[in-house]
Amino acid sequence: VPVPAMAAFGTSGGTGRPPAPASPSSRPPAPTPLQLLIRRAAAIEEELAQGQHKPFSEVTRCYSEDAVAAGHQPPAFLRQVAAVCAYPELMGSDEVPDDAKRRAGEILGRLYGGSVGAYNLEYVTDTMTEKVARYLERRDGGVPCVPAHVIPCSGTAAAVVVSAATPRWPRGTRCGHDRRGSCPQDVLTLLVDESSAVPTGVLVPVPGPPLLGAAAGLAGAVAVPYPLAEERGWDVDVPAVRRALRRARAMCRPKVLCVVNPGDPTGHVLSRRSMEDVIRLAAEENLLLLADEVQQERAFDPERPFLSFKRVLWEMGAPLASAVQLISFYSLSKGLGGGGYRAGFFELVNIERSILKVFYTWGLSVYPPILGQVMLEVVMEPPQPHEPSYPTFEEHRRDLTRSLAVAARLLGERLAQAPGFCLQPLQGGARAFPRVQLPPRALSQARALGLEPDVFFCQKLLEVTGIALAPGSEFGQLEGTHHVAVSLLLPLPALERVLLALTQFHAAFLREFS
Amino acid sequence: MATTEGTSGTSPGADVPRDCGGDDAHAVGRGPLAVLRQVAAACILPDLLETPTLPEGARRRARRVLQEMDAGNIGGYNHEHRSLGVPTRVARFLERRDGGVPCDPRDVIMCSGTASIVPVSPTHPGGRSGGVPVPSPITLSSPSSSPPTKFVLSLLVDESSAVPTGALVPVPGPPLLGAAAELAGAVAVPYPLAEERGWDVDVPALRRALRRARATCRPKVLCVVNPGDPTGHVLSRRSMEDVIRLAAEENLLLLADEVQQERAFDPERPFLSFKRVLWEMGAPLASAVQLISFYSLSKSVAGDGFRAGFLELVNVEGGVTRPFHLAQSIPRPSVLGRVMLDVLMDPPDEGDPIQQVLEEHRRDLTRSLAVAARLLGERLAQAPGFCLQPLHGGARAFPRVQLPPRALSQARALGLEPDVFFCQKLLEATGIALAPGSEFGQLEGTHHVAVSLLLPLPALERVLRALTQFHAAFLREFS
Repeated sequence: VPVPAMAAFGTSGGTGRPPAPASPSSRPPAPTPLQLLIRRAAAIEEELAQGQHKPFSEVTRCYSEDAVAAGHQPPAFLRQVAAVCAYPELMGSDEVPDDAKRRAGEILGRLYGGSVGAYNLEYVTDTMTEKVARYLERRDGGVPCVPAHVIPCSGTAAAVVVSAATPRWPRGTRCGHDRRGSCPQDVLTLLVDESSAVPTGVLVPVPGPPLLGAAAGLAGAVAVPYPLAEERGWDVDVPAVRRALRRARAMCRPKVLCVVNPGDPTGHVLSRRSMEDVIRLAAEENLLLLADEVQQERAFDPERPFLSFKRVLWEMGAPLASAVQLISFYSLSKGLGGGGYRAGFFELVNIERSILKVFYTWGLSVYPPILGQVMLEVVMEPPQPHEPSYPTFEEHRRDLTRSLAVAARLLGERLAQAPGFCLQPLQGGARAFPRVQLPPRALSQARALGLEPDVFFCQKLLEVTGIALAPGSEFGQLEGTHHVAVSLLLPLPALERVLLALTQFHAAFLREFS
Repeated sequence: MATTEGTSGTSPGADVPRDCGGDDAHAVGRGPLAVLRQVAAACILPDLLETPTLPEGARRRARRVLQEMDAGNIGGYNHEHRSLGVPTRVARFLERRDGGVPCDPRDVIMCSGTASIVPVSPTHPGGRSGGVPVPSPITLSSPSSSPPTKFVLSLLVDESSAVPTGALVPVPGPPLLGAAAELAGAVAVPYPLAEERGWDVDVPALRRALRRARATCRPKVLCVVNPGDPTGHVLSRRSMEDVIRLAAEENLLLLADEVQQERAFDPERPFLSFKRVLWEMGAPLASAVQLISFYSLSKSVAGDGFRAGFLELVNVEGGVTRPFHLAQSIPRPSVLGRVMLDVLMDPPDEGDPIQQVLEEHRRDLTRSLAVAARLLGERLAQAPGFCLQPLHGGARAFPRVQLPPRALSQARALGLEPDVFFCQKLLEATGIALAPGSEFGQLEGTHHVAVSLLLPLPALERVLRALTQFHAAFLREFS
């Protein structure tokens, strides 16, 4: 293991890999290809603004699942309540409807000092957990939820991993590991035992959100990728997971199986049957299921409704229902809220007592911003049918899924007609992940430039059309395949233009590099 | 505002908050800064931009904010705002603060403060645990919002080493600093501040602590809190230079908790940042000593807990700080928190109504803290058995309290630290909750209480009168 020049200051974080040698400056790490594309897009906008001639008149960013950035605001009621909570003098204003004022008043009445800026731990640990638990029971058709097993947090990133430290178990935790007193306060580091000579393995789906793989590394675990079965609509491929497990056991102890449902960027929603297969696998292989279900409010195909892993597990009955350990994530950033408010929660199901105790004994590692929790509360308890804001709120909710469904259909139709594109059925989420055929000369030219082929494709696409898509390599994909991630969040006319330009560009690209 | 009735039926009065020992502005009834909340509200609900409900200054500032947001909406992730927009303005703010010492925005990392309460079981008596202070049951109502020290420390801790990393923490100090070190996988090594010299850093004592610590750990980090909490001291330039030289000699990274910098109220002892002092010491120290400094919105003039702050990295090795720049490695502030902090970073501008309000507020804050400090000094000087060091900054006073021998033994019989016992009795008799010194750590055999300087003056008067009267009675009862 190479030792950094300034060994006195420790490693660069528990990545499970040898630390990088120290460099003389504290500059940020090298940008990913997507980040470079984003920067180039901004640079092109500058060039356009300066009057440089281009074959297009504007840059179109079409890769993100950030709905708010795409122009979709959270529902008005949510923002009205939040605004009044931020500035209670608005109670006297005509700009805010009465029911929003009433709701804000109820919330402020429960806050210490009547202020979202005061310390309000009880609001988080008592009030919010209760409301979330009732919401989850409604969501899951009555499956009971224990408020004490709900942990509000400030978004998935914080909950999954906030520490680059390799953790130790706290004194007194019975788990048979060496203890040195550090307390992991986020989910992955909690599950990773760094005192063991054999690193913990965390299975992560490929393609999947880059966060999970990075999180596993930051937590001091080894990320073990398992491929989703593209040809079967990105279903979880249980035999492939088993093979990945077997191979992984040569160098780590796999303990956690991450599943993303609805999938990102793949846009699939798992069937109940697939979920049951995953649960059985987790039981047989003694894996904790980490279910990233943050996109659950973006499921838009009525033929494939979102089911929580918790519900499916419960409905499988004993003995699995009380044996399989599950942690599930929800985020305000997807669905009706926005990523800027930093709110979400995770739910613990069948979690080993010692770990549960750690969560509660040592509290939350990141005390979430109260205003974010306020907005989460409103989503957990939206306006009721008798309330004036109900129709608009519900309309907003319907529009969310409706517009995703329409965008998905449009993408499906356009790409079905374009040779060299192959799109699996879209059932949820805010992105599509079509496979793109790239000709051999393009592959070799990309490699000559030291680029992934789909990065090369996306760079050329940007220069020629002004359209920024995310290359599939950002999310992982089977070797030899190439994809692009396309956002479903753009307004339809813009999406039409993007698809037209994309398919035309691809046809030209095929000709150029054939 | 919740108040407390003493169990004997006495009540300190309707305007005395339930927690008189905390440093949380809200907890003592100092509301948030209206201007910042107005900007926040207008950003959340842009409908408010079109009507005169909110003042024009706030609306104008909110429009500026929204222009920088993705799609003009505040609710998205707005990564650029976090990683570039706000840090750029923070860097300019720091340059103004430090008399021109250059700051690179890439060395500014936006983060979220952490207010983690280390819960104590009802049977836990509080007090020390291996030399590191542990919060007592009384003060569970007065949480201490701390910077993300744990996360920063965990990036500095070398977990692969058989010898644990040591982090030196000042005693007395913020209650969670030691806990944060332990949570990060380090060993907290307490070093005493010199009470009799106004809580100055005692470099020889530091060296002794270092020497002893080397038997069990590899000390790598030196935490300094300036202005001090709960001690209320502000370090002199000379002391700061001594600390810097020590850090250089002993190869320690300086972790400077400077979150109370905007609460320095003694013109004779202005706040100087460690960065500035380091820079002004010139080569070779100025480019050799590694420093990480914290700023927090909740302890700034805003005093509002929107979970926003930043770290500044100075001379820190790339291999160590690489993870800081990864989005997931450190808790990030919400967009609103960043926005509110951003308004504080605005350069002074006499034409800007928000800046005028902020300036006025800054003056009011320092003035009222200074007046409270003077009042405390006067009252306690007259009370036998209290000894208060000069106060220059921060939001608390930390007077030493003489406790009679019988009280000491009774406390131990109950398994309590003596000052916890004292504070419990005070609470029962007067309804006033102060924070016991053992929560912050103190020299063995000494006892202190923490009193908030943020209390409104009438409430503070009442608290001091009740405290001194109670103490006199306590002395008689337990002599």
